Amino acid sequence: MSELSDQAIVRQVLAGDVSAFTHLVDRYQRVVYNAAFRITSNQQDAEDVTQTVFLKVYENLRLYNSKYRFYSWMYRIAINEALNQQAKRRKKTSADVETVAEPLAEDRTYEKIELEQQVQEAIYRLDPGDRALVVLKHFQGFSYDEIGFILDLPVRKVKSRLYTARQRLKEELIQAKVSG
Amino acid sequence: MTDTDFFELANRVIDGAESDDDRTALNTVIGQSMSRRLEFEQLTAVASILDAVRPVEPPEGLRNRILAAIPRDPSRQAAASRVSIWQQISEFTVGKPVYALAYAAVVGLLVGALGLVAVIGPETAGDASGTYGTMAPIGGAFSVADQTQIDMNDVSASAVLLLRESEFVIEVDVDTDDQFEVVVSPISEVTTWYGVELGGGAKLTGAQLDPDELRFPVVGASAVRVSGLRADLGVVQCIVSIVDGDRVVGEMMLAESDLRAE
Repeated sequence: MSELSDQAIVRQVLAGDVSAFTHLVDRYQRVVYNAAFRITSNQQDAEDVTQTVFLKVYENLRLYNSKYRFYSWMYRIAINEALNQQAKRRKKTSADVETVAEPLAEDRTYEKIELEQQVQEAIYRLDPGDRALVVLKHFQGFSYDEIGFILDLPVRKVKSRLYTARQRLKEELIQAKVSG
Repeated sequence: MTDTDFFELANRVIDGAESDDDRTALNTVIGQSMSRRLEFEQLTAVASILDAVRPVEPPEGLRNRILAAIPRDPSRQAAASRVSIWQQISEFTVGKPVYALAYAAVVGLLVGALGLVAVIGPETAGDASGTYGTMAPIGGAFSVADQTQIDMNDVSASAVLLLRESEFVIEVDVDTDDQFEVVVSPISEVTTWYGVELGGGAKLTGAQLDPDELRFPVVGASAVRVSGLRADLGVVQCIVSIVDGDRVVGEMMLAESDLRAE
């Protein structure tokens, strides 16, 4: 994978080296897919969202303002796409929530898998906007400021909604008897 | 300490955003109250569980699908230097009140304002000849919620969705040598559009003032701006099509994220 900075890769692509875009795909397809999956809870939707996000990133690269982190800008597109995709599905019940079937690794017990499934279901029961907040904070590790930029929300609101979302998750998980 | 204060304090500590004073205050509170200690421990456990959730692996082949969808032609990228007609007009008239007035007067003859339709009632929508107003560069605290563009089939077009608290605006810039129509179709039901403004080669005819589908003939460098109340739409989603008769030349989708509907 390229060690060039995101900004340098963006400059290469804008200068006409379309192949340099591959580095951005390699660098970020996994995190974009993860964010999309956590929000849509559907593998096919997450794939579609990821593909659309990179296409939009490519097509709008000249509109990218380098005073922001490329990563944050791309996430802004990704979260919007995932929320829109999820909105199209509407009224999807928790019974539709997907988990990813993977071979059982050494460090993976059935209890852990069950817990992750319950967490995913609890997240999916959150309001879509709050779900995005939890994903950005806990699965992607963004700061309050970055989340504010990505979601176009004031930091004060980011905090209050995140706190409330966690409170709701706590209640959901206690109800599911997984809080320990 | 109120419940709200405690709740915020506990969450700051969980996120590692606390000050030394916060940490001391929290220790004091949870040392004095078993219920608050339990609450803090449960919230901490939730955060730990979330942080421990493993990332999922993208399916094999996704990378190739992504790369296959990326056009090899760099011209598919939006041109940042492309300035919208509205911006050009705005910049041209700023500080030039004479030009601004002249512009308003000229455009006033070309511009339709559906707001009047909303006031007069839909039965008058068939006659837009008296509904002209003045068009000014958009002002107020609007922010860009979405933007997109197409450049294909001899048509170059861009669309942007602007939002503020209770209103939305959709602006479309089109540049084409041939006569096409811009069709603005909201996905959600719209009861009233309160503003329609046109520039360049865009035209308005009364017969095309349909709440479900606004149609504007365009040729050359043209601009269409429509506005409405967000409450009418809930989450604002709209499809902007460029059509030639029954043939769709290009489509652009604009959508506000659910978050901004708060």
